[in-house]
Amino acid sequence: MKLSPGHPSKSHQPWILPTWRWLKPTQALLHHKPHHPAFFSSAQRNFYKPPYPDTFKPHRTIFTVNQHFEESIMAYTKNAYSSKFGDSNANCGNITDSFITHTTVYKSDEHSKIMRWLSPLEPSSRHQSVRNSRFEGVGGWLLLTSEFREWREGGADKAVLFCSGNPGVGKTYLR
Amino acid sequence: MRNTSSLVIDSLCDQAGKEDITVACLYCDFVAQEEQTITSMMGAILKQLVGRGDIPDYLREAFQKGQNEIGGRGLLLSDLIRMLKTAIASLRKVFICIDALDEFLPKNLPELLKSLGDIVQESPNTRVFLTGRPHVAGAIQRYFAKTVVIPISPNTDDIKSYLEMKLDLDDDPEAMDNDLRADIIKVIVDKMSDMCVGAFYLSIPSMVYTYKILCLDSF
Repeated sequence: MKLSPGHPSKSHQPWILPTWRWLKPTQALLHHKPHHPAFFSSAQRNFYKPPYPDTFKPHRTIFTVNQHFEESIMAYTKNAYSSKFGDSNANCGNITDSFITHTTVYKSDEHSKIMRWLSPLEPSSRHQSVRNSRFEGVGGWLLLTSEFREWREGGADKAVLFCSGNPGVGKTYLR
Repeated sequence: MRNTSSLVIDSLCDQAGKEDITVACLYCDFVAQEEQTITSMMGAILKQLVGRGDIPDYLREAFQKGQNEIGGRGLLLSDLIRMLKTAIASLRKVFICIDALDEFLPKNLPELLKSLGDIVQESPNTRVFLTGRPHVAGAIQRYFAKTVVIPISPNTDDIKSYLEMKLDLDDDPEAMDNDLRADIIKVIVDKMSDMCVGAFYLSIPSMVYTYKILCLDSF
């Protein structure tokens, strides 16, 4: 990306280009995750201090908006739009998706009434949103283990398979 | 773990296209604990088992009976479990997948597991796939003595491909060059594979920060 002519170089005024970054809900909310490991929390908090020097005057940014900055803003607004409608929980870990805001289209009025009566939860829609944000290629080894295959094919004595893992092994962000 | 669950569910669903199996999934969530009662969970399983086809008569009858009762719903757990057993009996093979059991309201967990155990015991064509933090293993094993437990921890390749994916999405690519990129991946993978927890929480700035910390650490 080339900077527009007359644009001050980033190294001299590092606060001009990436200012939008600390506004991003993804990163701002990262600290507030309930099981965020203590190992990073203090470090990150320091890291996300707005990178303004004390002498910074906000009006200066008016003259320094370039294409990169505009794109960044657009990316940010797009991000905000999608999180608002809850189609993905990418921005806030696992806390944005409400189970009852998703609706599944059912065959008929009676069909949908009965389905809603059975349960307000819509796990199929929830599954769609999880799989859309899944990171492919990770965790596939499980499907190849003999334990998994025996469970899938096996008899009644091996009816239950439990995968145990701590937060951070991919429960929310590994996808 | 959520990645793992969704992967397993999808692989089962792929299989469902080839052979006659039915898959029901549930995702537990801290914030949805109020909505996630035992009856709503069991109802959601039943919904997925019967939802594709026509409404079975027993379900329609139960619904109409419920509508006539004072107070509207009248959906009891015992009725649900009975209907679930009937539904499962009419299917060849049923997979029930429940993600993040540790996020289900702990005081209700025993009853959920008991209900599941009740179903599994009477319906040998049921397979149950559960995920959660290790501390729920005890509760699970109380109700399913022969549970097979697989510990999930990311291996080096997982961490590496995750970091690469994240770095590809860098929104400020000018600040990165190939050497730095390779170095970040190497240092984080080397040091973090021992720690297991953490690598998947890293955003790019924190990745660079962690990289700096880890480098300083080794000098």
